[in-house]
Amino acid sequence: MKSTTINSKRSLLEKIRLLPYQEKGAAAIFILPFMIGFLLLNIFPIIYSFVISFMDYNTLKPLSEVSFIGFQNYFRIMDDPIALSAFVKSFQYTLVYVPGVMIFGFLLALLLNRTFALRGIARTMILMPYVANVVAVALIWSILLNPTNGPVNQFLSLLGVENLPLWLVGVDTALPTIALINVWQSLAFQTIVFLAAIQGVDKSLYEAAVIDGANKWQKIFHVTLPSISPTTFFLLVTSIIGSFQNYATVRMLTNGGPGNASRVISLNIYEEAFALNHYSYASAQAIVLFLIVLVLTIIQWKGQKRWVHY
Amino acid sequence: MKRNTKVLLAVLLSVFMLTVVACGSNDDTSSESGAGASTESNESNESNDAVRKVTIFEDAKRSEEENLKKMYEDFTNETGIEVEMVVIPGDGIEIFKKIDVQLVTGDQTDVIRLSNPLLIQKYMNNGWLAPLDDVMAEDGYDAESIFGEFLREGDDGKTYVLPYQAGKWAVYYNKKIFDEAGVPYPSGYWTWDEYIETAKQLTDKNNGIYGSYMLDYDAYLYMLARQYEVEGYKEDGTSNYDDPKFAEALQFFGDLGNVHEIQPSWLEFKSSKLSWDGFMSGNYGMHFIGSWYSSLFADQATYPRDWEVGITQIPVPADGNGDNNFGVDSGYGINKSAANPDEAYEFIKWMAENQYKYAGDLPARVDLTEDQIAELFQDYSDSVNGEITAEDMNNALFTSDLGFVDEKIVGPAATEYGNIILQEGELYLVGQTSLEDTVQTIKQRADKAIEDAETDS
Repeated sequence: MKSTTINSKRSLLEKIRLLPYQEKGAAAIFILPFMIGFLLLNIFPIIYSFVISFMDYNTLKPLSEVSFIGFQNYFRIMDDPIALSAFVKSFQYTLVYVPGVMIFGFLLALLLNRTFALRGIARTMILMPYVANVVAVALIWSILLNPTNGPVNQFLSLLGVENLPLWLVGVDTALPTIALINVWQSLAFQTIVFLAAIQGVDKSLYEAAVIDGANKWQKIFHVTLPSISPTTFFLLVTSIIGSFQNYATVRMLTNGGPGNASRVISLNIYEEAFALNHYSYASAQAIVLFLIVLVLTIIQWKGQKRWVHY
Repeated sequence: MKRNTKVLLAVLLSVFMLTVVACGSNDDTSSESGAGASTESNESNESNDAVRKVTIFEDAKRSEEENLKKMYEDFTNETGIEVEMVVIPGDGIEIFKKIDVQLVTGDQTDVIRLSNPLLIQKYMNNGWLAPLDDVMAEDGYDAESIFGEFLREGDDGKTYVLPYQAGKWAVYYNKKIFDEAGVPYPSGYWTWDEYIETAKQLTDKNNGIYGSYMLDYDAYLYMLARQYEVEGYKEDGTSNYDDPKFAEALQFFGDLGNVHEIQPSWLEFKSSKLSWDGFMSGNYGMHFIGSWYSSLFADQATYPRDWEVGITQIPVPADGNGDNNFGVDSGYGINKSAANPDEAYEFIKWMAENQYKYAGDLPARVDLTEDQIAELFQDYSDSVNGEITAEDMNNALFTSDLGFVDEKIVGPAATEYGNIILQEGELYLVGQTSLEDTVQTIKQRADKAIEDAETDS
């Protein structure tokens, strides 16, 4: 009996010792550090958030005093016009940001793919907003778009524009302005990925299209776009997910104002959790946001069969 | 050892270290409660290290202030207890978002400085502070006789906080702007109408000068109502924001910038991202603010200026029914999981009694003699090279005939209430909603927040 146990222990140690010599074993060991980090820093917080969304952890009290309250935090969202409005604002933000960043990213990539003077410098310059600090970006744009004495409105005034936009302090203009500033800042990533994809398109396809009499636009619509559709799909999915997670720029530019005009759901979740200590309620909102993003991603995943060509 | 085995060991060691770092926590399982209750871990710390110390949360900016360092040095020299700052990134009340999370995760930092009544209420009533009654009784410390009305009690009737400051509001003014405009300095009893007229005389927008400067704190949006002593809550616990005085207060504040144009409008304040210390730029004639602001004038290193400052008492409504000043009290509490509760008790006691000597603010002590008050004001006067005399301070903050009311709306869901006033009030101030709609929305949202707070608690 004792020798069997020793043998089994030896056998286990032997298996561990031999792991690096086996392809699957080596692979497992190599991804183990990432998996542990992923589980601890991503999966566990998500599970934790999910669990406390069913609790009454909505004051700054010790965890030992919280109890389960079922779906009450989820029902509360339905009765909270600010939270509902924040979800709508996030959708509105996405509707401006995603088309903006995709269309301008693609057009800029087409432009940068052409041969022109100082192309290298131009390619480097478009990266600058992407690597700029969000606080600096917010400060610069706040100065530029200052409705009372900012250079943008002064220029518009010179052009004879009478009802000058309030930009970041206007109820109707704050959210689209933030979205466009984010488009400007994020454009470099989309552009570079599009550029790499465009450069990977088989040249013979363009030659064949020219032989068939295709003009410049037909080549873009019938050769370039279908050829880079997997890249477009990837960028579309990540842009939509990123747009729902937007927090830093909104926080820096308007902090959700004026009133709640630019209060997107990420900001609302943060404020509920950390300014008001409504941890469970904020978690419920976060879970709903997660489900919305998940559903949108599944719809895109299913829909890709129609337009993505691998 | 074979190479592959070494690689395997290195990988496993990395994983182990990652796990340890990720799971690392300075949690202590001690469940001792009450200031002065020594924990086991504390004893073992002391046996390893003879130096007594106390830890306190500080925000990044404050942790660099010379006044603060000098105060802590003096405390250490007097008690032998070293002060270790736990610096939290961010300034002002922003740091409490991080402190909240730290406390929930069992942080053992000893002392929390609570800079307004809302924070005192929150930490005191949610059980994060150690009660002081037993240890004060054991020490024979009569806090009541020292701090009087400023000694707050929790919902359970216990004392958790020793107050170090009971600020009042005042009007600070830029003498250079007054001199250049040929306007006499304000002094003594005056009304808001006189304040507006004075500010109009000082305002010179072509040269970027405004006669007045006010901030974007919620209190400004209802200051007039508080002067009239209108409460934030009705007797049945619901919001009292539908009291006409709140509408009057909001309109009054909005008119200062939008109609009278004596100060940056809300729109200009927000779009230009004007700051809480904007008055120090020298572009504003008067600043209506709490007396905590006094310390900025003594700090010539951070705020170099070529103008002198004066102080006078706050204006009041002309009808004579709101002859009140207002302000907030601040205090120190001890974390219920403090690693060094004995030292923390010594610390908060010393700070509550002595901090006013360093910060240029008003003490929360009722036991000080007139001579001690005079000495305090004289010290402050010396620190600003006599620009403000001891008599000026005394007249503005102590000997005026004004009554005193709480500056903040304190009660259930007070933080939410303040945020709602700011969010909805802002829409009125930038001309997006009518006064009536604003009042109605604030009332509805505040009632809902109060109701939710009752459900949550």
